[in-house]
Parts: sequence; C-alpha cells; structure tokens
Amino acid sequence: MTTPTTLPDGARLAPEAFAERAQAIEREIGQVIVGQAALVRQTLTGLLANSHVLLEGVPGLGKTMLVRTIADVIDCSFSRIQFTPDLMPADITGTNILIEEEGQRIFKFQPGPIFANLILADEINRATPKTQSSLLEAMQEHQVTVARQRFPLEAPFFVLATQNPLEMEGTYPLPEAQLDRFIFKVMVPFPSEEDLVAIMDRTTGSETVTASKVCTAAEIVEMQRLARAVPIAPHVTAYAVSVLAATHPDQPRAPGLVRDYVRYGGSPRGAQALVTGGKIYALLDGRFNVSIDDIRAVAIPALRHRIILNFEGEAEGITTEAVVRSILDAVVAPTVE
Amino acid sequence: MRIAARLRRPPETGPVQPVVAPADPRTVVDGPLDPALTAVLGALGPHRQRLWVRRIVRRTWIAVSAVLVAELVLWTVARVVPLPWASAVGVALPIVGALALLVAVVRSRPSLGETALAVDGEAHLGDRVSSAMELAAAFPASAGPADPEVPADARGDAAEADRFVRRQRADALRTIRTTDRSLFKPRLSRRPAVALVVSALLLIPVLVLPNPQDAVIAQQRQVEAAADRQADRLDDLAKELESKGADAQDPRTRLAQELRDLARQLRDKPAELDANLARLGAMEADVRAQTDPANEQRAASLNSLSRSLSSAATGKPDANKDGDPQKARDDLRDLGAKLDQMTDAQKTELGRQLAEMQATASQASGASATALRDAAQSLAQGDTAGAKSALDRLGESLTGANEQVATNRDLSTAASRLQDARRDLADAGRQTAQNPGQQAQGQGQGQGAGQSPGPSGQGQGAGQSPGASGQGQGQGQGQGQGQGQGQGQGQGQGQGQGQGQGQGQGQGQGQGQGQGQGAIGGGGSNARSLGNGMGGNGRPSGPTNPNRPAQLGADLSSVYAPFDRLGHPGDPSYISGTGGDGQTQQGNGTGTGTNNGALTPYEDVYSEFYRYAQTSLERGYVPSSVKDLVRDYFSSLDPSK
Repeated sequence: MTTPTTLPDGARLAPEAFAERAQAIEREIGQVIVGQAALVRQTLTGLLANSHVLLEGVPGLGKTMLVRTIADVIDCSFSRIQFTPDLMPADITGTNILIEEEGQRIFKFQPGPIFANLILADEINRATPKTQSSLLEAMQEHQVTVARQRFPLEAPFFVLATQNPLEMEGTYPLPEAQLDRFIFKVMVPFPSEEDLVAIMDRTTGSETVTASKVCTAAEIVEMQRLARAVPIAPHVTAYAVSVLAATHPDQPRAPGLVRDYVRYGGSPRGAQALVTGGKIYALLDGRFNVSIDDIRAVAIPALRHRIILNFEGEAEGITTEAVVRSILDAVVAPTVE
Repeated sequence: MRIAARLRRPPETGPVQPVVAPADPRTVVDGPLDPALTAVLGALGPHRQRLWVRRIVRRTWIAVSAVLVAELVLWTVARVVPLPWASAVGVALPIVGALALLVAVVRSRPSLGETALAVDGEAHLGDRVSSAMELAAAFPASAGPADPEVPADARGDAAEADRFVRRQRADALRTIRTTDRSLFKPRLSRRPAVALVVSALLLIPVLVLPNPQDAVIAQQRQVEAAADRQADRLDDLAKELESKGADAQDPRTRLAQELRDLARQLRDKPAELDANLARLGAMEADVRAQTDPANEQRAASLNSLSRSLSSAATGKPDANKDGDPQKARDDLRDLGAKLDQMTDAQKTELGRQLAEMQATASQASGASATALRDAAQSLAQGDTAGAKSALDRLGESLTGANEQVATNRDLSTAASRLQDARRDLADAGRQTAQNPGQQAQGQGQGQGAGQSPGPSGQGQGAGQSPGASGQGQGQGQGQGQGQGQGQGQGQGQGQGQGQGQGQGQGQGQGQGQGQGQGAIGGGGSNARSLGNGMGGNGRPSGPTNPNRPAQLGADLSSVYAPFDRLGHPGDPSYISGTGGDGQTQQGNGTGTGTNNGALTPYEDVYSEFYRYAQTSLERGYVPSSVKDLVRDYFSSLDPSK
C-alpha cells in the first residue's frame, strides 16, 4: 500500500496528481469492499463533486460498510443517522437546550449528527417526509438554520444515504426535491460468486481487515476545487444538455420510450450532474478535458432518479435505467463521416 | 411482450442536428498561436487528406450506384413505355452523375474541426483534439504562447483555467502524435456496393435483350414524319389554291385558309394519328360536298355550246375549235353588234340555230340556257335589242360557267390530294401496326359471318384486295378495313351479294387462283390476311351460283332455292398473290351484277317469316317488350304498307 504524501496546508494539487490520489482512495476502500468497483467509483465521484449520493440495494450488500470505509480512509468526522419513523428533524440538525453557565441559564445550540464531514443517512426512506426534509438545507447550502440562527457545515460535507427498495411497509418515498439533491443514485448490485468467496474469506476469519487513512479533508476539498476547474468543450456541454433535454417527453429529441412512459424529465441539476461527474471521470482517466464518453458514463447514475415515470410506465414495469439507455441511443454524439 | 418488442426495436434517433465542428483557432484568435496548438493543427493535416480520400471513395460508390440504379429504372420503364428520349437521358445520367460527384468531392473536403472530431472518434482519443481546438476558441487568452512573466503557481480562476487549457493542449498534442497515421482507410460502403452490383446484374439483360418499344418509337417517328410531310403538301396545296382564288369569298381562298390551319394542326400534334386522319377525312368530305359531281359533263357541254355559239355567230364551223367560252363570248358580242345589219331571214335562221342549242345549254348552265332561250325568242320575234341584250347575257353566263367549272376542278383536285395525304398518313400508321405481325403471320386465313335481312339485290361486302390484277364480278359496295403488305399476282373471280364487314391484317406471299361467292346473309370476313390482289370492275363472266339456304328452321327451308356454291363462309375471301417488295395497294370496286334467280324477293316470303315469328312468340317464353320489338320489326317490313 502506498500512502501519498499529505498535501501541505494552502498548497495546490496538480491535476496530474488528482487521479493518483483518487486511485489511492479506491485502492484503500478496495481493501475492505470486495469488488463493486463501479459502486466505489461513483460514490467517490459524488464525494469529489461536492455533492451527495443515494445508495439503493437490498440489505447486506455493504452499503453501510462502504460509507464507514470511506470515513476510515479519509481523515474526517463521520456521523451515522439511522432513520426511523419516529426520528425528528431536531435529532438530525440539533437543537437549543437550556444550560447553566456562570450562574445564568441560557439556551445553547447543541449540534446534531449532521455536523460532520461524512454523514451516513441509513435507510433514509424510513423517516417521515418532515424529517427527510430537514436534510434539504444542509445538502444544498451546506448550512443548518435553527431558531433563526445559521450554522455552516464544515467542508467537505458529504451525505451518503441508503434506502432499501424491498421494505415498502412503513417507508416514505423520498420527495422529488430531495432526490434532486443527490448527484447520483447508485444501485448496489449483488456481488458475483468470486467476490462472495473473497467476502467470506475476509469476514469470517480471525483477522479483521481495516482501511487506513490515505487522504485528509483538506485534500478532498482541494480535489473538489480542482474538479470544478476542468474545462469542457462547448460541443460536450451541448451533448450533455441534449441528453437532459431528451428526458422530457415534450422535447423533439425525446425517444419513443420517453414520450410514452415519462411524466417529468430531469431538472437542470441533472445536466449539472452530468457535467460535474464527467469532469471527475476525465480527471480520473488522466485527461484534462471532458469527453462525450464521460457524459455517457455518468448518465445513468446521474439521471435515473430524476426521471418520473407516468402511470403507464409504472404499470408496464419500465425502469428509468431503460429510459436513460434509450436516450443515450437516441442522442448520438457529434460525429463526421 | 410489448416491452420486449419495444426494447428490441432498433435504437431511435431524434432529429438529426447539424454537427457544429470546432472552429479553426487561426480564424477566431488574433495574434500568434501557442506552438503546441499550432503543432496540433499541423498534425491534423495528414489526417485531413486521408479523411478527404475516404469521403471521395464513399461518394464515388454512391454516385456510381445512383447512376446505375437510375439507368436501371430508366431502361426498365423504357421497356414498358415508349420513351423516345431514353437514349439521351441514358447518356446524360453518367455525365450528370460525374458532375454531381465532382461537386460532392469539392464540397466534401473536411475542415480542420471536422478532422479533429473524426480523429477523436476514429482513434478513441476522448475528444482530446476537438476539445483542444474548441478550448482555444473558448479561452482566447490561452490560445497564444504562455506568458513567461506569469508564475506557474499563480492563484486565481483565470490562472487555473489557463493552466488546465495548456495541459489539455499538451495532452492532445502528445496523443495525436502517437495516433496511428493510417487512420481513415477507405471503406467499402455496403449499401451503395450492393445497389451497384444488383443494378449492374439487372441492367445487363435489360440492355442486351431487344426492346419492343424501339419498334414502337420508330413507328411513332414515321407517323410524325408522315404528318409533317402531309402538312407540307397541304401548305403547297393551299398556296396553289390561294393563287387561283379570285377574292376572299372564293371557295378556293377559304379552302386555302382551312388547309393552312389543318397543316398547322398536323405539325402541332403529329403523333395523333387517329385525330389527324379524322381531320383530313372531315376536310376531304367537306370539300367533296362542295364539288359538283357533274362538273365534267357540264364542262363538256360548255365547250360544245361555246363551239356551237361561235360557229353560229361567225358562220364558220371552225371558229372556236377548242370550245373556249371566252372566245364564244367575244363572238356573241360581235354578233350582237351585227344584228342591226342582219336581215329578218338571217335573224330567223340564227334564232333557229340558237334554239337547237337549247338542250346543250341546259346541261352547261342554267343561266346560259335562259339567256339562250331569250335570245332565240327575241330573234324569232324580231326584237333586236332584246336579242342583243340576251346575247350579252349569254356570253357572260358562259364565262361564269367556265369559272365555276374551273373552281370545281380545283376543289376536286384539292379533295384528291387530301385523299392522298390521308392515305399516306394512314399507310404510315398502318405500317406501325403491321410490323409486329411480320414476325407472326405469314399466311392469312379467312372467316366469314354475316347476316342479311332479306334477299335484296344489293349488299355491302367487305373487301380490300391489293394486288396486280384481278377480275371481279358482282354487285355491291365494299367497305372494310384491312392491312396487307406484298405484291404479287392474283386472279380471282367472285360473285355475290351480301353484306359484311371484314377486318384483317397480315402479310403474305403467294400466287393463287380462287373463286368466291357470296350469299344472302353471308359474306362477312374477318380474315387475318386478306391477301393481295386488286379488285376491279370487270364484266360479268364468272359462274353464277345460287345461295345456300340459311339455317332458319326446317319448316322454312323451302323458302330458298337450292343452293350450291363454290365458296363457303369462312373461306378466304381473297387469294394472296406473289410476294413482292412490300408495297401496299388497296382498292375497292363496284360492279353490276345480274339476278341469277337465286334470290327470292322478300315480298314473296314475308308472310311465312311473319307467321313463323308469330308462332315462336306465342309458344316460347319471350318477354313482352321483345315481342313488341319483333312485331314492330315485321311491321316495318310489311310490303303491303
């Protein structure tokens, strides 16, 4: 294992070192998480994009383990919030409590678990919408307002929410506004048999595998800044916009599947997610420009949760992944013969 | 299933938007370019040439395929529809295709931006090269050489962007330098190639096999040429008539104008054979209606009258040997001047001579006859002044009658030439329809069928008998249509009365002799080949045979005399002659026949026919309307009415 040197305070990270550091993080996570390379890449992309990621998968696939491992790899604070139906917003954001100081009773803000760099919102769809909405301000503006007082959150601020698709009983689907705050919705696939064997070996033996810290919070912030500085050619931006426009059934570029089964398409945040994700993919690939292939690579995780199917789509069992694939087939990249 | 079907569908593509290729930085950035950017553009040059070659090859495939497909369509259609311009179009298509290819080749030269996009796509460079060009245009401050005074670790978004752009440019340059230089190999365009091969394979038989429409086109051209020739003839005839016409009211002047109109119509629509024939026929009939059938008889009488009048006026038998009406008028004028010196006996003698000419004058002209009668009466009554006036009128009437004769002759000539023109035009059209028959028919065969309402002595028989010689006997009028080609000798004898129509066509060669005979109710011919021969008016010399009884029923067979004939319905009506060089002759004839006793006047048998019909109507199930029809028919034939 190679541990990159820690970036001195105030120093700038060279773009050439971006991929190296990111790969170091992925390698270290891979010490704990077996396989799931795409899951790890997309989750890390969400972190480097200074946004948030929603994980969806059946229980036991390592969603929580992934977040905990990321927290272990990055030298930063970590909080876990287990969402339950009786969870209140104040349980997340914190509240003012009456305390006695120097002989006087005063209200003092007691920060909640949201005040950390990495937040694991486990089973987020089991809380009530009111509680879910308490995350909106924190996720979008990186601050919390309690009793007319604003409390900024420390960078990096990364919410990684998980939800269980099977437990429909007693769950509250996330509202669209909430979903739109997540840059990616990542599906956690069932591991292959080879990966399962490796998991058994690592988890059932006497030796416990742990990940080391290979990155600091400051380095993550620097990587986030660097990622946003990646230039993008106009024709690539235009392609990303075309892909997003094709998610709307009333757009001329929309394929038949969209026209037939989609009620609402993605918001402009979807295009932002495509471009931002593409920039990080480009840097991870060692390039300094975003390519159309980068846009296509992040299209499914960036758009699948932003597309709302209509009744016919739900009844026919259409998936948003199939819709996005049809869009990628329909919106061809600018090519010349 | 529905979902599966949808997902199996070929990928849909939205409206194709034009590809906006990156602009050439040299055109959008002022000042010198970054050497790395210049190197990137320079590295694109060879790829640009190869991309152009690929495009040229592709367009050539498409152009050749398009030309072949167009040729195939053209010549396939030309085998179904006569296209006189097919050859010209067939030659023009490759030329147009070559010109279109040339234009396409010039227009297909790729720009540097297109080349950058193509290199990125072909070599999978992750849009490095095209991004380098676009970023140079998007960040013009970074398009030039790096500023040495700016530190490498300068802070700020602009400095960060500049560093990124230059890094990206260097990355693009490094990548394109390692790119395979054999990119853009010319490809085989599958669809155009398949279209080319299939079209070529189909085109070969289409071009090699004889095109039946070629004969049709040639025939159409013959018809058009013939129409043009006839138009020239009509113009000549019009010019000739116009020169003879005295004034605008002269029939010849009017006819000249009509002929010119007709010539113009022939030239305007030379391919409308039937319409042109109809126009010519209508005009010919119109002209013939204006002519006097007894014109020549009138001319002979006029000449005779002129001779007689001149002789009587001058007292010299040979005073007007040619029978010139003008000379006769002058002699009559002189005679009128001398009347006062003549004795009564001379006047009486002159009146008598004039009276003897009355019959001839009546045949020559009504006005002449009246003037002659007045002159004779005045002389007999001793009215010298009246006689002088009558003689003057007589002279003027002679001149007028002479002019009328000349006009009639001109109109007859015009009618004949119209007939010639119509015949020539019809011949051209007939050859049109005949040529295919040359391959299939060599000998004709005749079939006859017909009906005659009664044993009348006249009938109509079909006939067209080109040939060199022939003899005919009979009575009747022939109408028919036929087409024949050949020349030969034939001899035939025929006798008959009947009615029929025949139509046929064919070509034959041969020599033969035959006899034909018509019958009541028979004589129709539907011969495929009416043979060659010429019908003529001949003196009755053929055998006379009675008619065969018609198949009207056992109880009516006694109506007819025993019938024995040489010919039978269905026999060839004409015997083909010896083949010649293909000249066509046709003719029809009218002759006078004799009643050979084979015919029974229908008045004698009418009652038996009527009774038979009545019996049939009463016994059979016949609709009342038909019964009335039959009764009306017999009522119309009732000889007692």
